[in-house]
Amino acid sequence: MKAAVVVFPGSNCDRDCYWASHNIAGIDTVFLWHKERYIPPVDLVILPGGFSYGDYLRAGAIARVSPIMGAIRDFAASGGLVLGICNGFQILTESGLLPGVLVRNKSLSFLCQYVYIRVERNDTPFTRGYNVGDVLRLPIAHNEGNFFAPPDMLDEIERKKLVLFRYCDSNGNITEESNPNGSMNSIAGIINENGNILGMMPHPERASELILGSRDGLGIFESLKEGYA
Amino acid sequence: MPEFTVKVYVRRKEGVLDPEGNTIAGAIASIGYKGISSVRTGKIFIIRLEAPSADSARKDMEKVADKLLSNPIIEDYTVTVEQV
Repeated sequence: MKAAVVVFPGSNCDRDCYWASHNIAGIDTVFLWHKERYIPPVDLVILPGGFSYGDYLRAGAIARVSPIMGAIRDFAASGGLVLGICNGFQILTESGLLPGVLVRNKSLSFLCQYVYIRVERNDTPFTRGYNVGDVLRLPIAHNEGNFFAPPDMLDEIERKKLVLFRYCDSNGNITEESNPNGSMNSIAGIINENGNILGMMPHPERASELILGSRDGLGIFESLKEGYA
Repeated sequence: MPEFTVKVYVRRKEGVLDPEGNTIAGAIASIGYKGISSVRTGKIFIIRLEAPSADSARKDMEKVADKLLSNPIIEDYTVTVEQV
């Protein structure tokens, strides 16, 4: 399997994503500058976390109109796998590639902490290595991670089972206290209907080896690789 | 071509939570002004451009507001046009 990590001005998790994908999971990975208009022959494109364009206008709003995004749209439409983490998730919702929007945390504070999330589906290329109900301990680091969708859109997301991860407590219970940012229905990550685009606020790449404090996120990279073995 | 100043006001839709507005409402009360029932926050974009007419300036900047300046899921906008 081959992967590309897109680098926007202001991306700051691009090297972490590369490390987790290339060095730890063993996926042949390259960097891809946002001004490129073509995607090299890869199976997976990763949109990393950070503050693309300084979060000007809205988080992800300017990155959405970067030259590379047209190519990513075509890549995704033809079934290519896209993983957006944190700012990458915000770029995917701003692009309309995923439903909803990430608004300011309910607390109005930047949150940098470990959270627990529950795996809701394992019939996707991103989560095939997990069991449904698995509880993962991953870090979050964001100011705009509060998932919002109007009622009709939220109903559709739930009806079509697009929620892949929900914030939970250490036992997997979905509670108000375990929802760090006010996200509707405790949504931490969603996929598109075709199941090839995932956006998530927690950082699996920052929890991919024990020296980092958790390796619960490595399963996402391993799941992706396994699917192409 | 005549020059215009277009102002695009972007604000959260009714019913969309505005925690920043709520915090500011509390701060206004704390400096002694009572009776504030709500504060809604937003952004103004002041754009100068040349266009054949006020109508065409408005139409173009409405498209810009749709495509970039606002996120239609959570925000509404209004546009005003003045000739410079």
